[in-house]
Amino acid sequence: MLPITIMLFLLVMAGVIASVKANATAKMLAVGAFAVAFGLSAALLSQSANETIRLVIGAAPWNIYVLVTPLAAFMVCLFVGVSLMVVWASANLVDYDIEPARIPMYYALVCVLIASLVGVVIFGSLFNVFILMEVSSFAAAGIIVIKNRPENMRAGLKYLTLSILGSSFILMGIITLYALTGSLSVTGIHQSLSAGYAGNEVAAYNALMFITIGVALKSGLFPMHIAFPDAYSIAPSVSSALLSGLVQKAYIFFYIMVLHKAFGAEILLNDRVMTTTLQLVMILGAAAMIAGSAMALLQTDLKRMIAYSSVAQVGYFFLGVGMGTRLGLFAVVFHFLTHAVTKAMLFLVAGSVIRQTGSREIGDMAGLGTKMRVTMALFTVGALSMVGIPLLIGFNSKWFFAMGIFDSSHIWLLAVLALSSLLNGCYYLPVVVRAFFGDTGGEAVRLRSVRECAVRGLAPIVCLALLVVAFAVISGPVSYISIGIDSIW
Amino acid sequence: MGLITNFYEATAMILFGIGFVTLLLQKNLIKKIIGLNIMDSAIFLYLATTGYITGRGAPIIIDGIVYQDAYVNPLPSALVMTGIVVAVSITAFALALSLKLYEHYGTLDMDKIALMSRGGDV
Repeated sequence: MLPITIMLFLLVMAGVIASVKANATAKMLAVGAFAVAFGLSAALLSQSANETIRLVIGAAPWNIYVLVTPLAAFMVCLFVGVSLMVVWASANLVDYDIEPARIPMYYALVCVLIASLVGVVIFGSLFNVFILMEVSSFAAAGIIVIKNRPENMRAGLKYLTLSILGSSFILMGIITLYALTGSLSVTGIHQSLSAGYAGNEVAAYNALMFITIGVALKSGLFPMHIAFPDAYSIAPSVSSALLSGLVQKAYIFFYIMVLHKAFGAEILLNDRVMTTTLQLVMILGAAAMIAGSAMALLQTDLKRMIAYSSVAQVGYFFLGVGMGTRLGLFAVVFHFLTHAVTKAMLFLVAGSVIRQTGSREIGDMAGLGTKMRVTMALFTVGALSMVGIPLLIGFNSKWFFAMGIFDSSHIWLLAVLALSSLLNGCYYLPVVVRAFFGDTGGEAVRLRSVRECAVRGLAPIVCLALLVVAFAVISGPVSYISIGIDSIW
Repeated sequence: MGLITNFYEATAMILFGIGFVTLLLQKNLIKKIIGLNIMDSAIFLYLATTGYITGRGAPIIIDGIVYQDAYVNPLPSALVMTGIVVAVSITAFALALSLKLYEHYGTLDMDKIALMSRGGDV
C-alpha cells in the first residue's frame, strides 16, 4: 500500500493546506508534507530495490492495478525529493511572486500536482494513468495562472490547450490499445499483444502514433514546444522549477512504460514501422537539441533563456528513447535525475536574482557577482553542469548519452551532442562571465541597493548544488537505475 | 471491416478531425474551446462504440448472480463518464481564463491579444 499512501497523503495534505488561513502555517505544512512523503518514498525505494511491487485492489477484471517497478520507485523518489527542495526554497520566493491571499491555495496546488505525478508513475492501469495526467495538466495550468496577471492567463490558457490536446491524443491511443487487446493494464496489453500480434499490426501502429503525438505535445518536443517557453518564463519561478524540472518527465516516463512494458522490446524493435517511428522520434529529439539551444542564444530574458534550454533538454530525452537501446534508455533515466536537479536549481537561482534585483534582463546582470556572490556561484555550478563539465552531474549524463550513441548505429548523433553542448556553453557562460567580470559602468548606482539573499532562501539551493556534485561522484544512482532498466526491458 | 460496418468509428475520426482543425485554426477563444469539446465528443463516441458488444446487457448484478458473458465490460463506460467530467472541468477552466483575458484586453481574438501584450501595455 506504500505507493498509494504517498499519493493519498499528498492529496489529503493539499486539502489541509487549502483550508489553512495563515501563510506561514501553509508553508510549514507544505514543507512538512513533502518531508514526510520523501521519507515514505525512500522507504518505497528500498522496498522495491530488488523486485517489482504488484498490487491489485478489487476483483478482476474491475480493479485498480498498481505496478511499481524499481524504475517507478526511483521516479517517485525523484519527484518528491526535488519538490521538497523546491518547496523549501519557495518559502523565501513566493511572497514576491504571488499575492498573499493565494499562497495556501498555491501550496495545495503544488501538492495536488506532485501527487498526480506520483500517480502517473505508480499505476499500471492506463485508465488511472490517464486520469492523473489530466489532473496534472490542471494543477500545472493552475500554478501558472496563480499570478493574477493577463500574460499569465494567456500563457496558462496556451499551456492548458496544448496539454489537453496531448491528452486527447493519448486517450485515443489508449482506447485503440483497449479495442485491440481488451485490457487496460500494461501487463495485460503486453500479454495479449505478444500472443496475437500478427494480423493486428495496423491498430498497434495507430495506438503508437497517437500516444507518440500526445506525449510529444504534452512534454513539448521541438515543433510542438510553443506553449512551454512562455509558460516557464511567465509563471512564478517556483512553478517554473516544478514544471520544467518534473512535470514533463512523468509523461516521458509514461511513454517509456508504454513502449517497453505494453508493447515490449521484442515487438517494438523487430517491427519495421515501429522502429521507423522510433527513429523519427530520435531525429525530432536531435532537432530539438539544436533548435532549443539556438533559440536560447537569442533570448535576453534570463528565465526565458533557461526555458528554451529546457526545450533542448526534452530533445535529449526523446533522442535516448528513440535510440531504442538499453544504454540509450539508461542515459534518459539518468538525465531525468540530472535535469530535475539542475534545472530546478537554475530556476530557483533565477527567481532569487529577479527577487533581489527586480530585473529579468541578462543585460542588467553585469557585476551582480560582486553583490550576490553565493547566488551567482550557484548559478555557475548549474550552468557548468548543463554544459557538461566533469565532476558535475551534467557531464555524467552526456557521457552516458555518448555511450548510448556508440552502442547504436547512429554515430552522427555524436556531432549533434557535441554541438548541443557547445551551444549550451554559448548561452550559459556569457551570463556567468558578465555577472563576475562584466563592466558595471552606470549600473553601479543601481547595484548598490542589491543584497544577497537571506540564508534560509539559499540553503535549499545549496543542497541542490551539493546533489549536483554528489550524484556525479557516487555510484548509487547509476547502479539503481541499471536495476530499474533491467526491470522494464 | 469497411466503412459501413465501422461507421461509428469513421464518424468519430471525422469529428476528431473537425474539432482538431477548429481548435488550431480559429482565432476566437470561444470557438477554440468549442473545437476542443467537439474533439472530446469524438473520443467519447469512439470509446463508447469500442466498449459495446451487441447483445450484452449493462453490468447490473441482481441476486448475486454473475455471468460475465452476459454483460459488457463497464470499464469503457466508466472511462467515458470520467472523460466527460474532465472535459466539463477543462471547459470551465478555459472559459474562466478567457473571461479574465477578455476583461483585460477587451477582445477574444488570440492574435490581437498577442499583439497587444507585445505592445508592452502589461
